[in-house]
Amino acid sequence: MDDLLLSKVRLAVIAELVTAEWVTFTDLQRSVKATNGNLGAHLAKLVRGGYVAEQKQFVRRRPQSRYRLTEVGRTALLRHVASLQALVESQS
Amino acid sequence: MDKSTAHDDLALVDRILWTADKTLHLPPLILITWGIVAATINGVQQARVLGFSVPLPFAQLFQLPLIALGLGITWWVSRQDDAPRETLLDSYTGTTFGVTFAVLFILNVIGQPRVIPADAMALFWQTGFSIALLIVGLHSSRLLVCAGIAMLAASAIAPFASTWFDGVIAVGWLAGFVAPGILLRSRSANG
Repeated sequence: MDDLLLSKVRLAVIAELVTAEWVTFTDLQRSVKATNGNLGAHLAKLVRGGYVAEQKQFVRRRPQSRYRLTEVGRTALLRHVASLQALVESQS
Repeated sequence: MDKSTAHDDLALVDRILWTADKTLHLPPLILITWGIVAATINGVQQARVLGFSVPLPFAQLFQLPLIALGLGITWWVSRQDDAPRETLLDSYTGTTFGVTFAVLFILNVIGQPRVIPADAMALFWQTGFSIALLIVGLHSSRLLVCAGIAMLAASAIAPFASTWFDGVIAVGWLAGFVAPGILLRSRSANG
């Protein structure tokens, strides 16, 4: 199991990012239904772990944060899902 | 972690992967811009063939500033685009159109004056982008497939249109880029 992906919010964020090139903070917030501060804290952990890359920029003069999945994050998700499947199958 | 939690986590990932936005978000203004740029270039050529007075240096030299304008508008639209996410299809589409443009532009700059006649180059541009539209359209949008077919049809008809060659090519660009761009824009305006 991947410790960083044991949180449901972080797992949901990584799953959202695997289907996109990049996603904005606002859209992630809408998708995973987390509060501003909660999502920010989880994203900071994922960025520190190297699972997610953060890009800050201005669009129409407004600040925007975009997140994209790194190769490390993609590999971690695949391993984590394989572990979850193994756990479910071993106990069934 | 117990079996129940593992099962819930797998269901969460599964739901997100299945319901994720996998659609194409192509800025219509980019399609409209490049359609007008290409149709103008071919339209001016058609005017010359029909006997309208267009000085040759002007007819040749206005193309580069027009393409530069197209690139500028594309860059500006991309910067202004406040889409909440870029799907993998959006990224794939950008690469397809970008590579198509780059290859044809290099071929145009290197080949046209010496090896490739202007009419053949106009056909290359149109068939190249009709292929790009068909590839992207088959993955994402019937409208773009129709646009690609319209451009391909124009490319097929143009060689038989004798003096109207450039006019048919220009109509192909309008049908393949401008018309779907306007349709996409009206769709997004209507929500």
